[in-house]
Amino acid sequence: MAMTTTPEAGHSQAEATYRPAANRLGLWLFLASETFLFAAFISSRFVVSGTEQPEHLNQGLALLLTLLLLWSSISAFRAEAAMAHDNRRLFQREMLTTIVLGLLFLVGVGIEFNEALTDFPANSIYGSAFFMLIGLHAFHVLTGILALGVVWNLGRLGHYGSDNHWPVEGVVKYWHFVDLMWVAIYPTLYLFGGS
Amino acid sequence: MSDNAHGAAGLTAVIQRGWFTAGALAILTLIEYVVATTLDRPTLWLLPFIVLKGGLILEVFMHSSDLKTLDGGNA
Repeated sequence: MAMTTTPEAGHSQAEATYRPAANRLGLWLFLASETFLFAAFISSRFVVSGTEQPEHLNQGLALLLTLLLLWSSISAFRAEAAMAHDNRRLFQREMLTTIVLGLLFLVGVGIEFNEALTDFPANSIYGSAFFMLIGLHAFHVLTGILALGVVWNLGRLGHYGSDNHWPVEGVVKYWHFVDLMWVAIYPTLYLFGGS
Repeated sequence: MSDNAHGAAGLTAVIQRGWFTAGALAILTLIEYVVATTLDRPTLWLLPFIVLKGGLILEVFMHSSDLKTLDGGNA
């Protein structure tokens, strides 16, 4: 018996095939809009206080946070690669590593906030730029951790595979974006002032 | 068997590329830190580091070149 395909079914099939490409384009557009948001906050730091910075910034902690985020990027990259190759065990381990490193980053930001509040007030010129920028980034780290947690759990339950891992790719791409923004924020707040 | 072997080899190659990139990013970060803490006005000297590190993350980790075709994935 020959099977016939209705136009509606054909359309749905084409839409399902096309969806990952549309999702990718959508995510890139979203990340582009986020870039404008971060660019506005970063430029406000230079507008209100030039490249000046307080003497008592905790440079060691900021460097450690940078390396932590970098480490989380490679673990996220490994998680995505593992799912693309159907290696579920590695996927779960690396996703958990990424989540833990993200949480450690947030703890470090909390310590930095506490120290910074004793060195310069949040309503000072530099303080307003510092706390807004770090706070905005930390919020993105927090939402990234939540999204990573959801995808890790669904992956653990067997929802994804090598031919269907768009959610993993999407959340990992978002995580790399958060790292990318820190690449600009770190020198903006900690390094441009010089020795 | 050959499919599995090819998959494992492919995964190893992808992960190796990730490690090289992470190593490069770590080295660039440390040099950036030394430059910033050594020089008096390091702003212009730090810009190439931001561009290089951002470019590496965009290309290797975020697969930005896939934007041309919207093919994706870390395969």
